[in-house]
Amino acid sequence: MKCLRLFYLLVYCVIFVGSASYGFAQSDGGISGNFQIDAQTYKEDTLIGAEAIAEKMRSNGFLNLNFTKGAFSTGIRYEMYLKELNGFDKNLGGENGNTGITYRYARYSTEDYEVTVGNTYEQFGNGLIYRTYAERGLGLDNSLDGAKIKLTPVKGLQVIGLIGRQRTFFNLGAGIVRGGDIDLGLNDFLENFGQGILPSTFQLRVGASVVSKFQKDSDPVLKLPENVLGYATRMSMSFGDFSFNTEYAFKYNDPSAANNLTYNNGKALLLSGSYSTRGLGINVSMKSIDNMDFRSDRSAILTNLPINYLPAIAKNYTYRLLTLYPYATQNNGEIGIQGDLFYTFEKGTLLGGKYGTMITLNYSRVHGLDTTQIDEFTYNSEFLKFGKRKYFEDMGIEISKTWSKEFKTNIGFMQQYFNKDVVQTPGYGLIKASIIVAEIAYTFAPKQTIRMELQHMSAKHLEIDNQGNESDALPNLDGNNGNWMYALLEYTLAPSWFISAFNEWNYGNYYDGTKGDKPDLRIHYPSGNVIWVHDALRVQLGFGRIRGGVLCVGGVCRVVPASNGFSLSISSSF
Amino acid sequence: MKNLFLAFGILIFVVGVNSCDIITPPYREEVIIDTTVIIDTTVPIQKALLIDYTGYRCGNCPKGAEAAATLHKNNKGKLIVIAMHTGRTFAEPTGKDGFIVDFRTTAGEQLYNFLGKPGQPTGTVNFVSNGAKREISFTGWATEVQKQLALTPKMTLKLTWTFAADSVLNLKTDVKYLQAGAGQRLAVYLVEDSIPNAQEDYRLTTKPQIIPDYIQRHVFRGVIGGGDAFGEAMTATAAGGTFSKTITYDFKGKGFNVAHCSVVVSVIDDVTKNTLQVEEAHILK
Repeated sequence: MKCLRLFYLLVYCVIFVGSASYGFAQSDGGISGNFQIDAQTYKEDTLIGAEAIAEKMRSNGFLNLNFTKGAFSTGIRYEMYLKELNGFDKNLGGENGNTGITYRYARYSTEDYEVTVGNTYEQFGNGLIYRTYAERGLGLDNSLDGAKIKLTPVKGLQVIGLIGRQRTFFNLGAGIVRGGDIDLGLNDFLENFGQGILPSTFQLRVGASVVSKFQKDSDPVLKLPENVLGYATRMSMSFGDFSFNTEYAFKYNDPSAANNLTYNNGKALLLSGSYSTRGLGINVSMKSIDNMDFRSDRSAILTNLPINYLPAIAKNYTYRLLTLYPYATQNNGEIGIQGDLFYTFEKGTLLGGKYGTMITLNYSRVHGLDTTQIDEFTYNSEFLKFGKRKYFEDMGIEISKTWSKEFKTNIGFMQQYFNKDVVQTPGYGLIKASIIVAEIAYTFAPKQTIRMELQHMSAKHLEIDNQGNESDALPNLDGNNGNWMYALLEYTLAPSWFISAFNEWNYGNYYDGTKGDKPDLRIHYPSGNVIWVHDALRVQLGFGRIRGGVLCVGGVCRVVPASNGFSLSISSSF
Repeated sequence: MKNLFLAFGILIFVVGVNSCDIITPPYREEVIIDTTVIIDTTVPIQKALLIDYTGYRCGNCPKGAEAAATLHKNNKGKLIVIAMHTGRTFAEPTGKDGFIVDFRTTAGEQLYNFLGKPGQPTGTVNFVSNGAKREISFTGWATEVQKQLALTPKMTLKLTWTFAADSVLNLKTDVKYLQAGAGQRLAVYLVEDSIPNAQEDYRLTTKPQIIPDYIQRHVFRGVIGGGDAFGEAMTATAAGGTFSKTITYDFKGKGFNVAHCSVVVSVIDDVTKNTLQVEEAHILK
């Protein structure tokens, strides 16, 4: 492996020196990139469940380096996990920490075509059958190592073909992925035959994609499909203030660890529409998925080796207490709807005041699909029907108002229904939570702002059965439960300094020292951060107790264990 | 350019049309099990140890147990299976619904923590790592088991034991080295088979998804040969030499059903932690 890394470095040295000496095109070459290092110290804190970490301090880091000269570009990414920050997949750091070049590519690109060899990222449509991407916060990187060709034979028409194996930590996955996508932007395409065939207010785009994976069947017990095919078709259109987007995907039998070895076909339907006009915006969407977990290794689980991406249908909140119960997409089956409404009361009206007032309403609801088991390996499901079991529901209202040039507020009230039994851990029942948030920002001097957040969550834990019937019995509880309060104070000295302190208090925890075998868990989680920004450089130093939880990005989640210690993050781009 | 586009279109067509295998029932391979397999003890045989990390409150774990049972049957005399109930999420007793007895052990938790508390069901085959990862999802066990059984053995194990009327097991292990070995450890585990106890099983379609009288197979009961989950250090031994160790274990007051108990002895590489050879002895058989 070390020899291979050395080889890569040598190849890149040759390419860089060679390109600098002889040049691939007429323009001068340029180097760009970015880096980030995140480090954290760990102190054992048995009360919050923060484990002792043998290394005491751990660090994740990466450097992206890109070189472009004319139509040619190349790049590498160096990554290090010494060892991986607690909560990231342990395969990143391995037993003794890992470093190495995990991403390298060379690309030649013209107006008509683009050829890339090495690692590539790509998304077909909404990603229902193919999306390779990196989400560093989750430790997810499923880039395809192989070749990709992108053709634009005529204006408005783009065709993509690719083949390769996916990254899994510091190795490649067992399967080979092949795929193609065709995308037709009708407005641009018709311009090849003359101007104004379609009105400029009407935009139409259609596309189709196909992806297949191969993995050898060496299972002596089951007959497994070595080649698994998925396909998708899509359309998006906009007309005036309206827009509409839809995609349907299908996947043939693909028994795997992630879908409990079912031989059912998979399918997914995504519909979304929006209306936007001055002062008003409305978005509605609907999604139904059944057995659409698609990976290039049938034994892979969690964030390892996904081929596709199933978008989340729940609002992604940034307020701290609203991240306690985040919804994770259930790839094996769910159906949901979401709607958002934004309305701005105009300036000078009774409710708008001098600067206007914005009100935001949100509602989302996700259910399971009702299924009937046919035999050990197959089941019947009702694809477009809301099943009996509700997985998640969220409704909220936020009112944002600017009172003066110096003073702004945002208040919100949300109610959540979180079926932890399904979404996270069986046996942990249902959580019904009401959350209120208030945010105040006051600019008291040029470049100096004080911002304060106050939040409260009232949470009730109930038992629930697999038919969706609730009971008042107390389910299993983990260390974080019951009611919470949160307060944050942040001082900004623009443009370089941000200093904040906050505290989360689990004052309503069931375990008050008298119940079960647990100590009093009505714990405070105080923390602070100092951020310094200078041009592209950003340095963040933090300290405190951080509660454990689950971090989700776009419905894909990882566990974040509780921690106590210092954190340092340095990032920049060039 | 036009040729390139044409070739590309053909490639996508080929991918779309040909790259799919549709499997129709029956989904199981027609496996013919050779019940006449005789383990010839005069010929060194490489054996493998499959540890199934499980939990009685893990609704997906019966599928793992079933995969382990099938592999055990298909590799009769060569594959040794241990089920370790580990972790808080799926193995911690709740005190209700039949989840009373705590099947977790100190050594089991040590191994589970060593793996980084992976999601269950999962398993290790000879504790080998594929890259940085040792745990393998149950769909991947068969492949790894075949790989491990195909290795050339470095040693053979001979177990000689007596079980006295006063409930004391006296077990002697002779490790005969076929090639010189150093930096190894000897671990002796106790396993109890066929314990009826409740088990969650998500294959059940009605609530509660619990089988009250589920038969828990190959349940790990702990280390009985000294040391931790990786046993105790062995002395370096030349090729052709034998390392011997004798242990005693008193079953009195332990509550284990000796008729269902077996002892699993494994030789472990101290650096890689891989199982190099393993043997099982059913105490009363």
